[in-house]
Amino acid sequence: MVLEFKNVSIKFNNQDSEIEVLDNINFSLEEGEIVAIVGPSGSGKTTILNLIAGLLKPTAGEIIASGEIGYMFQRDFLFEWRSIYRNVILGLEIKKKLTEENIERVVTMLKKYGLWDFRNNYPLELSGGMRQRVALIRTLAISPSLLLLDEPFASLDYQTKLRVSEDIYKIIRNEKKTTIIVTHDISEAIAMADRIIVLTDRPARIKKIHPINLKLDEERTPLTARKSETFRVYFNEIWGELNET
Amino acid sequence: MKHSKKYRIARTKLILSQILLFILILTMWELGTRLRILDDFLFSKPSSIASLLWAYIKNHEIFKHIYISLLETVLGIVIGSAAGVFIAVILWASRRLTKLLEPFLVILNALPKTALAPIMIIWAGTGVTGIVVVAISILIVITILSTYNYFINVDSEKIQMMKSFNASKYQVFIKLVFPANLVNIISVVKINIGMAWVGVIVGEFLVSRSGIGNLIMYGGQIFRFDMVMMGVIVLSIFAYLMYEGVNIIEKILIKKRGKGI
Repeated sequence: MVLEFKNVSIKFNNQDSEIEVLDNINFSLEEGEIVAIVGPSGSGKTTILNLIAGLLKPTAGEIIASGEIGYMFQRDFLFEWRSIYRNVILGLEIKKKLTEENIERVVTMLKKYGLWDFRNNYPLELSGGMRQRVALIRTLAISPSLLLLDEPFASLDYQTKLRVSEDIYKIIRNEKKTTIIVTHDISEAIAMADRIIVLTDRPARIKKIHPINLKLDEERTPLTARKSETFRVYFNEIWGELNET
Repeated sequence: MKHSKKYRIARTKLILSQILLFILILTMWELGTRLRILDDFLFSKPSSIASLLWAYIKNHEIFKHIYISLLETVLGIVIGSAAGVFIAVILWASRRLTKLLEPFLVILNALPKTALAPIMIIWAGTGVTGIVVVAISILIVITILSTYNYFINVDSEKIQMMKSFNASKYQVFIKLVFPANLVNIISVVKINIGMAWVGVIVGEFLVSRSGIGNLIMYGGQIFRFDMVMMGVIVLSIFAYLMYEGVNIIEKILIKKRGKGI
């Protein structure tokens, strides 16, 4: 088990009010699994990621996570004063882990995912999709045992979004990363995930956990997943759950 | 960056027009005094200013003044900007200290520092030191406030990203906040050039035996308008050169960032 949430709750204290964001959340992740979290906006999806990353502390309950955690945000946050290569090694640099072995892994990823020729370019010279790939490799460079993706495609236009989610999915599968992806886009969640956790309105509880089994003749990728007949079934079911009052 | 031919022609035309305009003003000034439309005693004329400047260059007198004022200004800019940025870093690192000092900084910023120049010169001495202190006092508070504002306006999500790698506060500053604001700090330094000159000239008005401010002051006291104007012209040339100098430093520092497609 890579991650476990045990009865986790969190409240935010404003100046005069108390907002209950998460209420008694329980779930766990198996190695190599991709889990998507969907829920109404403001339901605390990102809060779950911030808790896992240690950027927030739970008010009650326990989070068990082992190993490095890689966090990829909605925007790429590449530093425009650093070359692509120097952006990718940022995490290693911060963690003082610029070892030969780690650098070699970064170089391999840059080559494998079509960014090696751009290593000396600067972020402003790259397209949105490429930048997102750079951001993912920056996250993977520290070899996290758990990958957190927060709406990773929300800032891209529809065409790019489909292409980039295809790319990112393949990279994650290739590197066999256990992943949590937070999204408000139901079809994106079904296209990418092995399991989908549906949250309720705030204070968020887990409404349902769907294991996703798509019947496919070809290899599963986000694009082929969208063609499956079962895709629509899941979509309608989850759509219904999100719109129940 | 390569410019198109059309762009270069337009640019050359603009510069030529600016030179022509400058010559036109000088000619009108010269003619005005020669034809006695303007009073020569009150307004002087370009030719007498030029010949006075030439005389000062020939007997090397002008270089002594330039040297001393330039020294004071550069010291004022370098020490004032460096100390100002350093204090802004400390404020950025400690929110509590910022809250404590904020009202004092705001008051200091609103205060007309030149009014305190006489006292500062008495405190710090009448030589170069005193004048440098006046220059620093004029630019340091605004340097602190504007640099601090730039620092705290760095995207907080970028800081979160750094923290997700367990970055320390020091790393957040060195790898994110400082490089993200390098261009802003340089623009603060550019503004400081003008402010340091104000401090130096005011200081030299009050106490000095040489310097461009002293030259202007002395010229005014003996009603030599050509001497005053000569001082002002030398002053503007060097202020401009310093500005261009900072521009060159800026280009070297940020040339490697890519221009976008």
